[in-house]
Amino acid sequence: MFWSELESFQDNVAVIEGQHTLTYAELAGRCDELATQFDGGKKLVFVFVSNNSNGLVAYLTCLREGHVCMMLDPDLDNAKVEALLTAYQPNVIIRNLNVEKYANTKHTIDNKLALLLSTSGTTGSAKQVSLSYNNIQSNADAICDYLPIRKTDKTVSTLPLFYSYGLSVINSHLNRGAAILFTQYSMINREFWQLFESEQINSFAGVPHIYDMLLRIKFTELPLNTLRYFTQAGGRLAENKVRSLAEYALDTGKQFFVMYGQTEATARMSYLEPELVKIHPDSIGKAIPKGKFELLDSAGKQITKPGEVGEIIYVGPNAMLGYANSKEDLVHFHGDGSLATGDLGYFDKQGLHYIVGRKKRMIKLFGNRLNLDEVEQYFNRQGIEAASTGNDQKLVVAFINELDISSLKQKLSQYLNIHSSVIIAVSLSEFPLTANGKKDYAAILSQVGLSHD
Amino acid sequence: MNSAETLYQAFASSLDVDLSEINDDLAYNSFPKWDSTAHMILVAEIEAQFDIMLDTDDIIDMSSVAKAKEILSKYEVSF
Repeated sequence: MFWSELESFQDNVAVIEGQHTLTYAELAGRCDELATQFDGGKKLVFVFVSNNSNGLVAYLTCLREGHVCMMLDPDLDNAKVEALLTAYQPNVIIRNLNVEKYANTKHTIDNKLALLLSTSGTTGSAKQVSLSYNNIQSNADAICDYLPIRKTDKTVSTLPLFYSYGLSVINSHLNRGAAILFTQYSMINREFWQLFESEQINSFAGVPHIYDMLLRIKFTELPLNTLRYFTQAGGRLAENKVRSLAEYALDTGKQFFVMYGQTEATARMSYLEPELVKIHPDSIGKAIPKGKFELLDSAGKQITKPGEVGEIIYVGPNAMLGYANSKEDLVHFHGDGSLATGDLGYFDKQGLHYIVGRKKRMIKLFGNRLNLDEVEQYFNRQGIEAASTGNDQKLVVAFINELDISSLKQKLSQYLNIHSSVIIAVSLSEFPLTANGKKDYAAILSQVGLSHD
Repeated sequence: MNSAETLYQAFASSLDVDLSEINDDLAYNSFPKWDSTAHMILVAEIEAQFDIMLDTDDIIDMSSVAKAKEILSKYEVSF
């Protein structure tokens, strides 16, 4: 397991942060130091993790010492933190390496359990994806198999550590003995690109909204001589953008990897070979090493013909143990190594996979999954009727005869912690209905001039 | 509206804050609501309001309201 063998990379640089670096031996030493602040037994730990060496040390210490670590956004609002504290009663809370004792209860926890990650930073649900030690190690191994991560590489952390994709970048680099740069600057800052150049960064990871931004600022015109490859995952990126990025990569001798995954699969489930990206910009490629996809039709029967659409089932050692909603759910897991993704797709004659939609009512905004039914429930709890729909650019909420929809929109923006410009709120005299009397979400969407894509 | 008012208004709507919170000293690294998402919304808003196209260097240099004024003056917007 890479976290217990950090020392084996000795003097390799593990972390670069401002003027400071940490070698693997020093990183291991920092973890051992933090570990002295815990007393015996497997603990449940809340880690408020920032993208810096302190966040990394807290995470690795939990793994090394066998404590269960819930990775949390340090900016999570108080009400949501309180709800999680109540549901899980953690023994310890770590913020910026400050160790605070919390609940004194001895929890019964499945020995396999290592990590708890939320699938959505927004609705503040207590639901967590439960991942095992084996999940983390096997996914890091698979990623190191197909991505060209070298021992001498340096990457820059561009995604939060409490987000499975961001964490997978860290895990795979530590697994290889490579270096990670942490910076407080974002990709829209001049300083970020100066660091990129001076530190000679070899790769970065992006999600659709990051690539929208990068293409918008024409990052391809920046001198990125040391950049060897870059990856896209975390939602569907528009085909024309995938194609532009593939062309940029081809023109400059770099590699562009399009990947697919979910937190429920630790992070990664599939990737597309860089040389196929330009020809198949809409494909998610094939399953990662040691993993495989199956497709099930609506009757639960396995699909064997190319082109037929069914639910994508992933089978592999990185499929989660299960979900948890409270500490009681941590006692025992019986995950069977398979995962119903909730995504609908098909495969072609070459065995490349494609996603066509989702089974559940879900959209993705700024990389965050948003359950549309939860938005309706949020308003229903306040006695307000709402119909919520949208696409991966906009969230649409329709109300019935509400006068002050702009204040409802502001409240929702605060609750979900998303920019109000991506929310469209409308007031209707009644909801359009489908033939069988259900809310006609497609009609609501077209009323505000949007479509599903 | 004069140019300064238009610019302040663009900042207020992009950062999702009240107009009264906007002043020349407001800077990217000291205002949590000014994140990368808000920055891109801001860029689009400025381009629409002043009918210009900002280039890469200008977008990544626009780290404060004062700096935005300086950059806009290159595009013949006067304050």
